[in-house]
Amino acid sequence: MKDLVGQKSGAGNIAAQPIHDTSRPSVKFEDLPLDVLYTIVSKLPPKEFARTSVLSGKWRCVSSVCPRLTFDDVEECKCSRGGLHQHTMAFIHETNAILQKHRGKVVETLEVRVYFADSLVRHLNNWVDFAVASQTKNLNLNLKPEWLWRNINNDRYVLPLEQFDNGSISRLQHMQLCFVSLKPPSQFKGFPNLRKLHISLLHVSRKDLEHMLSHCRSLVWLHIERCHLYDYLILDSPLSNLLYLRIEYCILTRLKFHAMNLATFQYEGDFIPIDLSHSLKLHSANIQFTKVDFQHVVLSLLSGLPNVQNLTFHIWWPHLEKQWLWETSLKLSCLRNLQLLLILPAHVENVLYLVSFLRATPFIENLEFHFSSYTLWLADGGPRRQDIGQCNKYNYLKNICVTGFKGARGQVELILHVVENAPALEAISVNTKQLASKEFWPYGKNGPPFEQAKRIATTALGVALPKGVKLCVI
Amino acid sequence: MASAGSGDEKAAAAAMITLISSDNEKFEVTEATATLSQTIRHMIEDGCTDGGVPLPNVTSKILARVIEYCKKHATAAAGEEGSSSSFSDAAFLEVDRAFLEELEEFDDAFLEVDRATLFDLILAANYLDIKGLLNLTCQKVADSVKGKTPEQIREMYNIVNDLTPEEEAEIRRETQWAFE
Repeated sequence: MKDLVGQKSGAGNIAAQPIHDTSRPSVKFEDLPLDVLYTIVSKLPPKEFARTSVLSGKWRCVSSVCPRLTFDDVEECKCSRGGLHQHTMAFIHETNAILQKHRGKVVETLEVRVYFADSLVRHLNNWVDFAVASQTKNLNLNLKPEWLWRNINNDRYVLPLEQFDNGSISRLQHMQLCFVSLKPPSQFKGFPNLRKLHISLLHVSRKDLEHMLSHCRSLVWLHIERCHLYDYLILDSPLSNLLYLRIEYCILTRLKFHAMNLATFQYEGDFIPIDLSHSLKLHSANIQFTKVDFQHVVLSLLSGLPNVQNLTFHIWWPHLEKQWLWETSLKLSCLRNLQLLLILPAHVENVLYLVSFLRATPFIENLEFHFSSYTLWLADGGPRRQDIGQCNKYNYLKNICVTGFKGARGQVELILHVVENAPALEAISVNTKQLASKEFWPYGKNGPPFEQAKRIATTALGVALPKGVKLCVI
Repeated sequence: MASAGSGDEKAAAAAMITLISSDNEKFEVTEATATLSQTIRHMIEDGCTDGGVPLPNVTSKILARVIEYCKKHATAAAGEEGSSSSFSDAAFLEVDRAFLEELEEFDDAFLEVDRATLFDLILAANYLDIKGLLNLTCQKVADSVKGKTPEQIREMYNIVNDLTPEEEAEIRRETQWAFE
């Protein structure tokens, strides 16, 4: 644990300090630990960063031990588009001048954030050269498309992989690439010590991406964002260090990773088959699909993420089929905590059919339903829970939480079904507020009938709940 | 093992943790709120939070503010660093733009404090290892020195210039490019 109090005297031992009283008459930078000062100065542009070295002995020490250069044109440039070209020229000039001052020194982190223009290519190549020569460990080329909707298919900056020698390739530990094109040569052996990789708007073929990733054996953290492959992404070679994987709005047709130690998985986008069956220790998964056929998706999850322990499953506009008895022996037998988030503009009468998913979660302990949709308010119709017939019990279920309860018959039937089959239930809370998204109410000023929904919940559960189960209706 | 991290509104099953400030004031918070602090998270994992968590370096005034921050951000904490990510209701709220805007407004208002409080918050965030809060407060300090001359910065933050004139001249020579 970090020593907070001790910093007052301990950290300032670079130069003699004036003695002051134990009470704090005024705020002193010297009170902050060195690593905090480092955090502060690393948020400054390079020139201002360098200028802090004349403040005092401690500051000189801070700026000489943290070899980091950040060039952020996107932050600086709040000007109109018209002034952008001129601004970019000034940015290039300044960046070159500062890098010139750091020639021959170690620069651990080099970050560049700039609107991309063709005129930058030559300079970006030089800056990558600089990173190679300066033994950079963390490289962040965060290029911004000037006009996203127009440029999106245009040429991007091609990362000059040929400029990296073996030493510099194996030195890289963190890398962020945005709006860059990657064309690795066939003999490319990946980045052997790369631990953290964030790629967005990367232009790369499916084959090249698979090839590169499969050779990044040290990867711990991987985030792929808006990289459209229009193809599958299948990594069969094991990435045994990978703990975190996030795939966001990529146009893919299938996804497979062989990551046996993966702890966290996040996915947002269109539904695709996902295969993480090798990830035996998957602690939590957070999956968001839009416009899907519920049954199809659930069957795919059962086979793709069989070992998940905590699942947050967010579905927009699902199609809930009038069917609950699919023949499947697949179970999520590691699943303990489940959050289901549903945005249901239609099929509200079919809410009870969610039971079909619950049947595959025999060891569930905590269950949450979060509903969103104004059409659910007091919606009548739909099947009764008695129609399901005999069901396996949820023997381990202790807590149920429902938000966006709107008194719909489907909701009531679903809750009662679960409650009646949960012998170990300890507590249930029903919230009429919608927490998963903003409440929308198109029918005039009075607002949704919260009180009526509360009464429905209280009445229905008052009868069904065994003694000793805590009920909370909000 | 931590149970499913529920937000405050859904406290039906949430485990509570007691935090004790340096002036012996007790604060009861949900586990989801408390575990935004890596320091406390590790204590929970080690099972040493029974009878409360004493925080001898944080006063009640500052702790109250830190808890205010954590409560607000507990819902938005999922998955920053992979392994440390927890199962919380954050993830879905993350997509809610309105919520993100609200969070930003909250942060801005949260930073409206005098410098002494800001420094105390930094020290507390550092000690409790709350990455988001540390970043936020450090950014505030960095913004406050942007565009200032060294003399102005020294005055603002009571920095005693302990460099000899020769040393200072030497550093200025080395970093002349930064003063152009």
